[in-house]
Amino acid sequence: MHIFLRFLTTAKTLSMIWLLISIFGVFYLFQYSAKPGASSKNSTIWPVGSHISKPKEKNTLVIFAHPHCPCSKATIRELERLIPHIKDKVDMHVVFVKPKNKNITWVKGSLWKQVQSLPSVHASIDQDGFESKVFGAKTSGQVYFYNSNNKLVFSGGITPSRGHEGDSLGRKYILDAIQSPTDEIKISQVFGCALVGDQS
Amino acid sequence: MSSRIEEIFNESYNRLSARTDKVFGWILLFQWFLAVVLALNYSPKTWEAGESSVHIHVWAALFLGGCLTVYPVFLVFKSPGKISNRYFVTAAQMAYSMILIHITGGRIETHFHIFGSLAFLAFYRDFKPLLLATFLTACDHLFRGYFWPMSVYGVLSASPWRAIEHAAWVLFEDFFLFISIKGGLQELKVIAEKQVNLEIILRNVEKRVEERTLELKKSQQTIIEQQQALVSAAKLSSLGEMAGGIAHEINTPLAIISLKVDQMHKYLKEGSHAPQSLQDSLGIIKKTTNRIANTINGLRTFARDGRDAVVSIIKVSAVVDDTLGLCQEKFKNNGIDLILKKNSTYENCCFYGRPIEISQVLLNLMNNAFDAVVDLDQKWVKIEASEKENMIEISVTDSGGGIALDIQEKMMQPFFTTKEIGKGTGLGLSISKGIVDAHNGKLFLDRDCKNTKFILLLPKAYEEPKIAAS
Repeated sequence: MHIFLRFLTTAKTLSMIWLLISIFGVFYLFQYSAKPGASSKNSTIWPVGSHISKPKEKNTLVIFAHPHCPCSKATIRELERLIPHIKDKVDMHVVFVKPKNKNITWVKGSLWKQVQSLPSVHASIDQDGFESKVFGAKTSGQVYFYNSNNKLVFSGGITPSRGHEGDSLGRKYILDAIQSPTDEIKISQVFGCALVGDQS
Repeated sequence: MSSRIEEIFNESYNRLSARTDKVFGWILLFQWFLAVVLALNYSPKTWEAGESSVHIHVWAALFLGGCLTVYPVFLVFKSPGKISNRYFVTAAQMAYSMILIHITGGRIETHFHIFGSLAFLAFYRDFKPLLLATFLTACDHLFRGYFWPMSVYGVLSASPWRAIEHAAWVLFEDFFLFISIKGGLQELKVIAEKQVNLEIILRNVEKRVEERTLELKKSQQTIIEQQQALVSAAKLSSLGEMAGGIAHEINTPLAIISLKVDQMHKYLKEGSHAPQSLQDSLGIIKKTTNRIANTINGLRTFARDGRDAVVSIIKVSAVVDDTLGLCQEKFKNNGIDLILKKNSTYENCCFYGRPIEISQVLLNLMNNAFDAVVDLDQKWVKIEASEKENMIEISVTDSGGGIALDIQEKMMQPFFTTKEIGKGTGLGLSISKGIVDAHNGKLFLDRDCKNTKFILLLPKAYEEPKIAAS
């Protein structure tokens, strides 16, 4: 035992242990950041029963967000970057999902204020997760893009990984849908907190 | 010399490395703290509908950050300056860049941490940590670009150019940092060279100082020997002077004796003598022989080396009489009045001293007085004795008009003389002063006297001498 302890405490051994723990830790962190949330059950057209107003013959973008999801700050920042490119062509909504056991004050946190500051974006509160159920959104940061014919052309996230800003497939698909309209549905991963409990 | 330059360079470099290690130790600790604060600020909790738990970023900041920090910090404070430390520091620093960028959600601003870290790593003035940092950054981008391309750039197809662009910026900074490192190492080398040059100069100067000090000591020794020779020569010179005076002191009485004897011969031959005149002549002969005896006694005491004599109790009258016996004839023959004030101090008082040496001092003062007044219209020299507290004061005053102020300041200095070259050595007063100082006495000029008056103060003795000094 004594020899084993001596071996463990030699410089080389300690250095190797340190290196392995560091690499493993960094690896685990990045793996977590790349782990998507639960994907949405999509309907191909604007869902019936939604109370969100959809203008006729105009593209509509709907984002579902958890009021306190840290990853969704990046989603809102990406929306902010998209706005100059899409604001005249897209009607934009950010829907904050309020769980049953929380009040309105709980919803209107820093993320709410961030959205309120954006031009041309409608912020609304989804009481008890009604709209999220109608749309099938399960993860904060879930984006739906409907074209002017009410057809779903994109479902997914607009961030490259959890909490990270930057180029993403979602951003590309949205811009493509505006520049080259098509009925094909594009899907990407969503990175964020669960909107509903007990997600699997 | 080149090995010494290398030694100094290595010492400077090791100190720099140790300092840089410690700075990084503090930076890593600060970054750990910063990572936790940022995690709590950006992503404190993760949610599942209304339920929350501590976000993984907070745990990562605490534990992964702790792991990245603790071991390198331990190394840098345990063995600061050790070469291997910088590689652990580099790896930890680049890992922190990844973690901080990750925690802050990939903010562009946080990417500056990479460039800042490279600049700090350049403080080691070593290329290798920079190469390692660049390698780790490249590996991170390549690895994640392959496995999680979205976490790096988004779409895989767009990443190669972005990877090259990122690498180019890092290499751009590396290039300038390499130049800076090279310049820094060169500076250290130049400083080492200058230090070695200074050491050589210092050694040479020290050697020269040693040599000069030795030369100086030898010169001083030579000077001392020469001074001693001069002092001896001065003594011999004064002895010579004295010999001339003594010859005169003896010849004159002998001439008197001879004259009286001739007279007595003539009286006896002629038979025309009166007993009284014979009596007178014999009296004169007796007195004259006594005078010669005094002169010889004075000479005898003067001839002995005074330094070996024992300090004894001396009667004032004895030493004054002995000294006058050596020079009074000279004074008389040159028309100089020799005035001796025979007061009670003169007759009765005693002092402590070596008789020969005190006699030398008095004789020197008398000779100086003689030289000062011999050409004056008014010529006299007065010798007086008095008591001053516990001291006996013997003064020699001459009819001269005093000594100029600038000469007064220098006259006790060795080799200073106002006499013509060959007439005086300039040692008389300085030797006399030395003798008197050794007797715990004082020899000085009375500046209040309008004539030239030298005062000799000697410690009074309250006993009578057991054997008379003469």
